[in-house]
Amino acid sequence: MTVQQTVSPLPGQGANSPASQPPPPQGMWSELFSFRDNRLGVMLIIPSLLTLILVQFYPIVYNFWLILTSEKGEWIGLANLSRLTRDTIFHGALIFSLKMGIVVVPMCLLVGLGLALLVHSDYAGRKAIWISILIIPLMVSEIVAGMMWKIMYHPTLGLVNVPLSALGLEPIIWLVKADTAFIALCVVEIWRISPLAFLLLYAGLNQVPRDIYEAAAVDGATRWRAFWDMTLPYIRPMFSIATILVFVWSTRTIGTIAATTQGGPGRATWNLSWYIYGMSFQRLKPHYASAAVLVMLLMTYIAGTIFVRYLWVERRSR
Amino acid sequence: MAQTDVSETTTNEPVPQDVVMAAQGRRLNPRKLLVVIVLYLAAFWTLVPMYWVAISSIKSLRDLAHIPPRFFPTDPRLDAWVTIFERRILENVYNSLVVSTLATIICLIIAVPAAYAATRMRLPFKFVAIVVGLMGLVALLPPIASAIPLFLLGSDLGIIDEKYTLIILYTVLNTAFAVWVLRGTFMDVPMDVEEAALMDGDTRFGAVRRILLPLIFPSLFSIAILLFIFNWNEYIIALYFVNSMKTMTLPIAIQAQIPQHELDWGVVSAAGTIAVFPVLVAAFTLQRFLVRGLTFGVASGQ
Repeated sequence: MTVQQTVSPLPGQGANSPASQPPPPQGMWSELFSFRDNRLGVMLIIPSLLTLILVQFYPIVYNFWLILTSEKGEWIGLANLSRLTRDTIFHGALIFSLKMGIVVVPMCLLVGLGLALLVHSDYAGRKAIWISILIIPLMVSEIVAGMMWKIMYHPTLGLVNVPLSALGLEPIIWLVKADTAFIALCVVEIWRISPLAFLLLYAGLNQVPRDIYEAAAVDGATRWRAFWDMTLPYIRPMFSIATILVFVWSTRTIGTIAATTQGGPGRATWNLSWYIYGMSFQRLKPHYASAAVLVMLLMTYIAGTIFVRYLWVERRSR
Repeated sequence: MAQTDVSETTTNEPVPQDVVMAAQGRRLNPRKLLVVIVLYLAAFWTLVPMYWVAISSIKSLRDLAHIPPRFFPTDPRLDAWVTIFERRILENVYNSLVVSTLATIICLIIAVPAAYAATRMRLPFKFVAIVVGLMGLVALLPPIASAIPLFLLGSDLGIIDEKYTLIILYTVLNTAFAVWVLRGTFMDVPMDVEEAALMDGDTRFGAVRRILLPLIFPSLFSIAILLFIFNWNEYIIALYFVNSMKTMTLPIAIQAQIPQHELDWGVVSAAGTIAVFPVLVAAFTLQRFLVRGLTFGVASGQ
């Protein structure tokens, strides 16, 4: 063991060289087993690779199998998918998810960016405390978040109607009508997810070198121009990551719906996740629900690609 | 500093650094006041649902029915807490604790060596890049996408509604994230010290145990807390895999407590308070690291 280590010491001699930089590759497999070190390293990685296979690749491959077969296990080709395109409940759920994304993503980014700028500014003392308060919703379970807001929206117990009645307005029974339920759920999602945007954008702001502001001030740039021309380009990668994650989080939510509306009134607040859950678990049509899973995966993939391409890459090419 | 002095006299828009200097001299700076007020409002917005749930759990029935709702309970009662304990919430807490703790520990046991190998060992670059890249992608995949196949697999094997199934699933669901975050942490630690130990004839394992682990221990601990919180909150997988009180974790128990019509809100508030409590403790003990830990997971991929 000791002999071998002196032969192949740890890579990355310089502080700056990437940890896993290899010698020039000469075929992956021969290299894999040419060093003892390799074999040990691969063995150390393999357990996590197996978990990846179990929870990600197996399910995705199996999903395709499910889509192509019926609940009885017969091969039915694309029938599940074509049925899905005619399923108005599914259309409703898909539209609801997208609508929610359209409302929640910009709001979360705005709130997150605003808070990140405030906490990052020199006026906010004790940043660590502000941060730990502001990111609490991230660590609250979906179902608990939904439950808390269900109480908040409650016509008599809840706090939300208090300002309304103080203004002399009728209390709104938020979760009973389709449009108010949509607004109410969006608010829950903004409460729950905007801390994620805040956290990522705050981390992004911390990467902006301070001296560029001094240089800009010397050049006579206004605060607004400095923000627009320097801060934003710098936090752009984080901004794109935040956009993707907020979108993904808001479309996959299920606990908040389970706790507040249970998809009601009628099917007005079914989103994709709730649809998948309802189809697979309550109506026992897992094969059919898998088709909806595929749509969800595609949506995630498309969103990810768009954002990475147009928000992230653009800065690199500059 | 000479430069900033110049800018102070030549521009009407002061740069932040100057304002700080000025703010330290003056007591009441309107900008600072505005920032602090907005931050207090944000904190209020963040915390008020939790406060509301906590006080709803100790309100008397008369207070609960009072219109408009009272911001402070006039006649605090523990009835709801007695009821929730009678409904055996402690068993759910126990289930959640066992599942979350074991899954966290096993996950770290799997993930730490992988992160070590990915950052410290000579491996084919492509292999590492592919594995790590895939693990980064996993963060985007919705858990419900794997829920159905895993559920069907679980029913075939007859392991639905077992605690160990939940432990296995929570372990594997989080491993990719853990490797991802740990890799960032490991890369932050310079390798010179370890190399020196190896040169002195220490074994690799000895170098890890005596030098690397103590260095990364704070991060490791925080990642463990983070994973614990993920497991503690996990809902979707539990929805499919929990059928009875034997395995029922806290999130599912809370869902079961949510009344659709009756006036049983004190009880569900108490349950919610129990679920949120460890999270609040974690938020305030971890503070700064949490930011690093959480952001690393997504940011270190670039």
